[in-house]
Amino acid sequence: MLPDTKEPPAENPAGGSPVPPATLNAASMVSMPAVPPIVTTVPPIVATIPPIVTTIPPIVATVPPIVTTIPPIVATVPPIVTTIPPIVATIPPIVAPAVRAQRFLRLVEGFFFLGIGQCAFGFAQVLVNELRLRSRDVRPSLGRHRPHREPCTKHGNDEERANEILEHEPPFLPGTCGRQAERQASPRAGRSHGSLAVSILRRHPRPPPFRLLPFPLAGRASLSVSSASMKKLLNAPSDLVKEALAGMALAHPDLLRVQFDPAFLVRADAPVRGKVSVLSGGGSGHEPLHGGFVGRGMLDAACPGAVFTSPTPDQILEATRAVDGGAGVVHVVKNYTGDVMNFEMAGELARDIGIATETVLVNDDVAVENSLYTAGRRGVGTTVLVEKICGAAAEAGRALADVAALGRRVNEHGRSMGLALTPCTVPHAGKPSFELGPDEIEVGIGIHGEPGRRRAKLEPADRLTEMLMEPILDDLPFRAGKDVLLFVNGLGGTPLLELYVVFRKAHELAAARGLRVVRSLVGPYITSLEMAGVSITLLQVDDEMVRYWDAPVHTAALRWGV
Amino acid sequence: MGREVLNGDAVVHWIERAAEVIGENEKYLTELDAAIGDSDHGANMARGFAAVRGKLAGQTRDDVGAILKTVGMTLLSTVGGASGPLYGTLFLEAAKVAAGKTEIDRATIQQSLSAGLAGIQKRGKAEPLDKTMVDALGPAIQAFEGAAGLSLAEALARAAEAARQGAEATIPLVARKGRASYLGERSAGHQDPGATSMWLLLRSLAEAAAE
Repeated sequence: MLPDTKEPPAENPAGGSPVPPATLNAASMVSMPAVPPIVTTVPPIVATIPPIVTTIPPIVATVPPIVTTIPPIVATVPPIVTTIPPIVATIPPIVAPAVRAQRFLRLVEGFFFLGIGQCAFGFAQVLVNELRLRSRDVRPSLGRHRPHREPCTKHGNDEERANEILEHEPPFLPGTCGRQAERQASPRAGRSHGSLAVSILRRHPRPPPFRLLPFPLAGRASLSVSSASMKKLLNAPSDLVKEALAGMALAHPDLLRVQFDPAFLVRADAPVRGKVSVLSGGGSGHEPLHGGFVGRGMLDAACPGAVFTSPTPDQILEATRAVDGGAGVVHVVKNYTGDVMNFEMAGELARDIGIATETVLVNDDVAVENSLYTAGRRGVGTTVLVEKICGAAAEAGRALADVAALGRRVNEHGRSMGLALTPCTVPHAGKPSFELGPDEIEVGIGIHGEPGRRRAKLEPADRLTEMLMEPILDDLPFRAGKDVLLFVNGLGGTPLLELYVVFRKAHELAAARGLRVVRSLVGPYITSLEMAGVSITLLQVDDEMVRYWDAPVHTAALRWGV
Repeated sequence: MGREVLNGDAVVHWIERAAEVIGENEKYLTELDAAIGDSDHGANMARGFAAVRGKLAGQTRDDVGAILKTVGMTLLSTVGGASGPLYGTLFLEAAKVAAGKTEIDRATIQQSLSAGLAGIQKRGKAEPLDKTMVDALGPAIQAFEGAAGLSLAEALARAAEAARQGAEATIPLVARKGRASYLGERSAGHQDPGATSMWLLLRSLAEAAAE
């Protein structure tokens, strides 16, 4: 980090105010079983057999007389043979025909070409293969693994046919996209799963040298990932938000007050007479956004809705009324249909009772195409920066119109994009909002567990960082020689250790475009429950923004200069 | 059976029936929403209508407009998301038309629904075929208008049937409003949850009128 970089509170040793992870934990602390990497190694194993199978038919044709000579050979290797049956028995029928055929043919092949010794070796090899299959008997079960239904970037978008196949013709390899499935499926309508297995095997080259896996496999546990029951610290889903708010009130009495029915948080000394107030709100599940930013120098009020559900007009109206110090209230609204409409109605109601309001709409997510045919870009990471800078400007005594104009300028100069490594589970729904294979990521994710723009393979952190930074840098308004604030945000389940790895690469990429990273923020500040993943926000700053960014802030989640 | 006007009791009965049906279909609505939205429509609607039921218990029934206003305000403050303001607006606009009336006749019902539709379109800026609740309510109002020769109950049944067809017709559409629009082409192939809950609401109205 640069010398003038502000330390994020997550690593800020200054006592007094708890750091953001504490806030997050209060709302949702989650332990999902990590996906063991073992499953990712399966496809190559499946691929072990094909070359042999394909080469054999001609041989088989020539062999019949020789086959008759085999029994004595079999008799010479009794110990090996006897070990096989129980193993074979454990292999589900999907694989068994392929394996049996292969074993037989390999036996013939060995005898035919290399004589008895080779044949014995062939047996040994068969046995080894059996053991490998046995040791990875996750494979047949992967037939039940639900391949993703999203369009595959590599194989195009012919979802209908592909999904039909996925629907009716399991099993496919993990991570099989619709188009691959179609190719796997098309030539063999009506064949058994056994021949399907063969046809899949045929398409794969000979694998790298054999490595024995530990047996029995810990990887079996991974099979239950998609159906794992929700594991959260909660009493009843319907009490989650209320209880978290009560916890916040008890944890930060010096910073904020909490009110129920309707629910909102206000800074401890609200309303501040003569000061413009800044209010934000949105669904819960993004903590510390917004409640963690209530305090001096940032938000005057926050309105939490149900998880991932916007707050209601009466909540926003009551909070607006509670913080209005006579100078008006700025509403910071993330661009989602529900949020926009609820804030719009609240604004109209506030006007009716004589409170001036201005709205700053945040829509910085470059993953969403901004067109007449969508609800427009979503509001994500830049929201935190708008709230900090507007809050400081209001604290400095700026007028309502000025604070709102500054907020809009920040939004115009900020761009974000995120990716998810894992989905998240809305407590009410009880299951993940989408499924990701062990080696898949969702690129262009929002903050509501909604699927992103596309699915991709997991790659090294530097490559993933490029995947996010390139669309951000290619979007307006970044120009060489300008100063930027770089914000690397955790989506809830990703440790700081990894976020700093991303920061390092993002910093390098920004510098390569001639941008000077003059301020930074690293940590989980706008999250999506327990989702593992990261979003990057780049804000092109001017002197005024930097001045207000540096201004003192004293909230549960951000604290400096006090 | 059936009647040609709806009094306060009938309107309350309609809302109670709707609360029941939406409660029964909470999971279904949430599943529809999970496919193209954020899996909260069923829970939000069920929570909202349960609250409305509680509010109506203590409501006098001599002013249909007041009843509809209570429904609208309660939905507005309990549903959240996009559905809260939209269903809230539907009932608040209808309440303005029915204000001070002890019972509403055919013409008032039609005006109320039309005012509600206009309010929803103004609030949500949705056009027909954007894959929203407008695609269920719009055809329902047209069917109701076109059923002039039928009894009120039959006309409302026609309207409910048109709403069902409208909701089903959203399946192939690509969403252009709401959270589903972020999915672009991927939103096609799924029935719109908002249009579906609108159909359930109108079906309850038809049932209430038939009793």
